[in-house]
Parts: sequence; structure tokens; C-alpha cells
Amino acid sequence: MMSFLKKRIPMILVVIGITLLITLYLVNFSSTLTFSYPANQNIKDDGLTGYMFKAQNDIFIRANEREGHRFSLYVFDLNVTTSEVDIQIPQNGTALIAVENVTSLEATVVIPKNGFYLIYVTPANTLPITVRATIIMTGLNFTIFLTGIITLGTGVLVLLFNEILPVLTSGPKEDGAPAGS
Amino acid sequence: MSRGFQYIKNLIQKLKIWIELNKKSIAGWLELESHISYRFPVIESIIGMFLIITVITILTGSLGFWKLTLHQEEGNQLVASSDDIGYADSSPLLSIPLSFVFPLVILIPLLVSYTTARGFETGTTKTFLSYPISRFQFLMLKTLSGICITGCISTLSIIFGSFVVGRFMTQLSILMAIIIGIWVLIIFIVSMTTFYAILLKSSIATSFLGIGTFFLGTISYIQLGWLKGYAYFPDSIRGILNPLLLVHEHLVRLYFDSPLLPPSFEDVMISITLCLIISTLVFVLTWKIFEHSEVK
Repeated sequence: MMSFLKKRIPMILVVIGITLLITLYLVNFSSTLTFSYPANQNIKDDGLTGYMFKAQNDIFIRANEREGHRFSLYVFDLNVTTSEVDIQIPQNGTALIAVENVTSLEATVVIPKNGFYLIYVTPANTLPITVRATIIMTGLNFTIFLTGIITLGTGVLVLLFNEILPVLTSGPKEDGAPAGS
Repeated sequence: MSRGFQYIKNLIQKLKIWIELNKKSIAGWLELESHISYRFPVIESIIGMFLIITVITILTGSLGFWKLTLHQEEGNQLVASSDDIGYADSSPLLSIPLSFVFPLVILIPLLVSYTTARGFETGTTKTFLSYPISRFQFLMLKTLSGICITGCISTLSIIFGSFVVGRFMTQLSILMAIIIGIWVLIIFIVSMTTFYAILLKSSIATSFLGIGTFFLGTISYIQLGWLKGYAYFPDSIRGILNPLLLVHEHLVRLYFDSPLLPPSFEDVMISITLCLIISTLVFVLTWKIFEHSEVK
């Protein structure tokens, strides 16, 4: 059983590493968020819908309103590291982007550091809005990339240690030894 | 109650003694099973498949986005309360198991048909049974190895997914509920498909019948959910068709403001218990059939 595990564990690590790295390379981080508000939305009483997300590289945002009604879109740096506290969202002046009174937009947001960010949409007037925003993250997801590299590296090292080291360290075969011994 | 506990205690004690006495044989069976049924790259393919599903779910889904309700306070300050974040916090954990449902329904019947039913066609079952192993032990070995391998890989994929999205183990109760749902579904599918494998002794028939049964079960679960508004159908019975989806539905409707009433906790527990009872009964039936069947 031990010999089975000794052979299979490094193979499993190599497969995990290769799978993570290939999937990460082939698939972009993208997500579509929907913000929907009825006519005459009362922000004070009903609140707004926002999404908190983690970003490490610049993001590309494409948003449009279904019926051409106007909306405003904001992205903020949240400056939080834990979800256990109340999040105070900074005032409009410090937004990473604040695009106001538009029917559609395409923008790249420069992410200053690895951390949590907030995106939200508000109606520009009393008309109802349904905004679909697609967010595409640029660059690689660092956690998946690092996990892939570490597991692949460990697997390859253990494989080398198990398979190649015994061949290198074994002495020359004695004369008359049967083939394959 | 105390008699029941005493009985379970005695049973565990007997099992411990049996394992101690048969340690060498168990290691031998495991080695044989790993060489016959789980040669390279069976386990590696399952791991790769679950990892691909997890990473794609993380990178392309709504995973990693925590929905918040923002309120405007004095001085136009927007505030999201910790309660909202607490609820939203669970969203990443709930997306991964949902993407596991159909892969599990397809993968497990294929795995069982490869590890169990194919043995009757190639003669490896007969070879295996020539070793000092009873038919009950053989069946336990096949069933438990299938359950443990798929269960452990899917559990580790969920833990990895929650680690990647940056909220590792914050909602332990939700994580546990999802993992229990996955294990119950896996136990149910493995026991049912092992029954087909022993009964039919054909890998093609086992895989098609297994996939068909649980695919139809999952589709029926969804259809009955849509009918819920029009006719009463108990969630506890509906959950037998796919216990993981019932757990998921319970959590999603409980934590996100859903207009539909969530299935109650009691319904979820009844459904899980019924699934486990059915799985045990199916296993006993499979064992009885296998005891009296001829292995060529």
C-alpha cells in the first residue's frame, strides 16, 4: 500500500498543478452582475444593491441599461480586510471611477492594490432601471496560480526524488546479471 | 436510549477488534483494489475534473461577488451592515456544490461501472474472489472505495474553492451542511449503481441505467420545485431525488431574501435520513443478490 501511495501521490500533485495552471490560463475571470431598481427608488429607505469583490489586477467594466434609461456607476476601494466590521463606504470624491448619468459604459478601472472593492449603480432619475454590468478581471488569479505552481513543483520534485535518484545512485550492474534485474 | 448507545458502542468495539485482527488482509485488499480498479489515471482524472469545475465556477460565475444592501446615513455616508455581509459571505460557498451536481450524477455511475461491473466482463471479479475475501467484504470494499474517493475529492475541491475566494471557513455551518449534502448524494448514487452493476453484470447497462436514474431524478426534483406553487408536494420526499439540491435550496432561500419559502430544516433532515436508509437497504439487497449469484 505504501509503495502505491509513494508512486501515486506525486502523480496526483502533478495533475493538480497542471490542471490549475491550464484552467487558469484558458479561463478569464468574468462575471455579470444585475442591478435592478423600480421607478422612484427611495434610496434612504430601501437602500441600494452593491457587490463587494476581491481584486488584485485592473478590471474592465462593460455596463448597459436595458431600455436606455440613465444610471450612475461607482467603484470604491473599501480598505477592509475582514467582514466582521461595519463597512463605511467613502464619499463620492474618493471613488476609483464615478460615471454619472449614462445609458451605457465601457471602462478600465486601475486597481491600486490587492484588496476588497465595491461596485454599485444608482438610478440617475425617477425612471426604473435594469443595468447588466460585466466585469472582467485582467491578469492571473494569484492564489490559484501559486497553488498550481507549488503543487506542480512539489510533485515534480518528489517524482524526481523517487524515480531518478535511485537510478543515479545505483552502481554498475554485475557481470552475468539477468536483463531487467 | 441508553440501550441503543450501548449497542452502538459494542458494535464499534467489535469493529475495532475485527480491524485489528484483519489489518494485514485489509491492506492487501486495498492494494489489490487499487491495482485492479484505480490504476493511473482513474483517480487523477477525477481530481482534474473536479478542480476544473471548481476553478471555472470561481472564474466565470458570480462567485467572489458578495451582494450587499447599502443604506445611506447622515452626511450621504453609505453603510453596509455586518449582518448583510454575514449573509452575503455564504454566497461563494453555495455556487460550487451546485456546479458539482450533474458531474457527480454522470461520473459516479461511470466509475462504478468501471470498477465493479467491468470486473464481471473481464474476469477480475472472479480472480479477486479467489483471494480469502468474503462476498460481503468484496462488496463493502467496492462501495466504500467509490464513496471515499469521490467524497474526499469533492470535499477538498469545495474547501479549496472557499480558500481561493478569500473567505476560508468563515461559515462553518454552511460548509458542513453542503459537505453532508454531497456525501449523502454520493452514498445514494454509489449504492444504487452498485446494485445495478451486481444485478446486470454489464458495464454499459450499469452506466446508462445509473446516469439515467439520477439524471431523471435531478430533473424531476427541479420540475417538482416549479410545481410547488400550484400543488403541494412534500420537500422531504422531493429531496430523496437529489438531497444535495434540497440542502442547497434550503441554504439559498434561508440566507438570501427569496420570495419562496425555504424547505424546512426538518424536511432536509428527514430527506437525508430517508436517503441513507434507502442506500443501506439497497446495499443489503445487493449483498443478498451477490451472495446467490454465479460469478464467471
